[in-house]
Amino acid sequence: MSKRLSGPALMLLELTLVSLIFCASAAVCTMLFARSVKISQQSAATTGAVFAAESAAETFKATGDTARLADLLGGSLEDGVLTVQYDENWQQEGEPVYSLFLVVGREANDLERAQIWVTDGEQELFMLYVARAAGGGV
Amino acid sequence: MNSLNALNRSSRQKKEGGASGMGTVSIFCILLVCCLSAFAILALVSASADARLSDKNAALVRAYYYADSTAETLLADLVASWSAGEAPGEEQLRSLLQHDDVSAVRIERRQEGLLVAYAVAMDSEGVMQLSVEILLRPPGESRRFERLQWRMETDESGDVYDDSLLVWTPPQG
Repeated sequence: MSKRLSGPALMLLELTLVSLIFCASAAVCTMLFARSVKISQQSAATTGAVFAAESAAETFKATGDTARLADLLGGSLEDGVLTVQYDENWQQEGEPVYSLFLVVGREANDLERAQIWVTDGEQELFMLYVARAAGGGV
Repeated sequence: MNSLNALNRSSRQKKEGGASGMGTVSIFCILLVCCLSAFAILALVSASADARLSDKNAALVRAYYYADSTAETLLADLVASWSAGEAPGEEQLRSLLQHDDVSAVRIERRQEGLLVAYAVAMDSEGVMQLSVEILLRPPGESRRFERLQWRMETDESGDVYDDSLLVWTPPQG
């Protein structure tokens, strides 16, 4: 009853099975690669945001004056909000992708507080609160 | 006769695409799939490790600036108290430094002013802390205080994490 498969038919069957397995594994691997690229991009964005926020925080701690801060950070000051735009490489030359915002508030005892946050236009990447006691030196 | 039979068998196997050709593609495919999977998993593990490191760095920076804000707030209170009218006593200054995260409070009178040192904890375990030393100058001077030390260090060993060079001195005022 049962008919034995001939050599070419077996070869064809093997090739078909191998192709199917390869396609399935390639799909899974492509998914994994895509996911790792996304995670990598996200962590690079977080790292860049942390560095940008730290840089802004230290500049604020050193000066405190928002106009001077805007000069030093290369941003624009509008309605008390300092905005600095960065491109995809965290430089200020290309098309803006990331934005850093800084708002300064003054409290009693010559204490100045700044809120710094970095976004990629869709979500907030990092936020920092910094304080500075004025009237001293390093 | 035997050799003739073997020759016939071999030529028949060749014609039918016999067992010698079978499995080579499978083995090659298995190797390829293994390599692909290994690289994909390595890429994912590496990206995840990068993301964890990035998150840790963000958490550390957040913790540092939280401690820094606490230290600055205490400093502002100290300076305000020191500069207002009569110079406060040591106990009064110590009471200003009463805070859950603050430890190692030290107050010393010096010729050039009053030295106040304190440490602000950066984590719940108390391993990392922001160590601060301030020189409060006598009231009336334009520069009311001087930061002698402002650095991150471990609790007991004294190891300094932040030993960066001072590359820029901010303008006075």
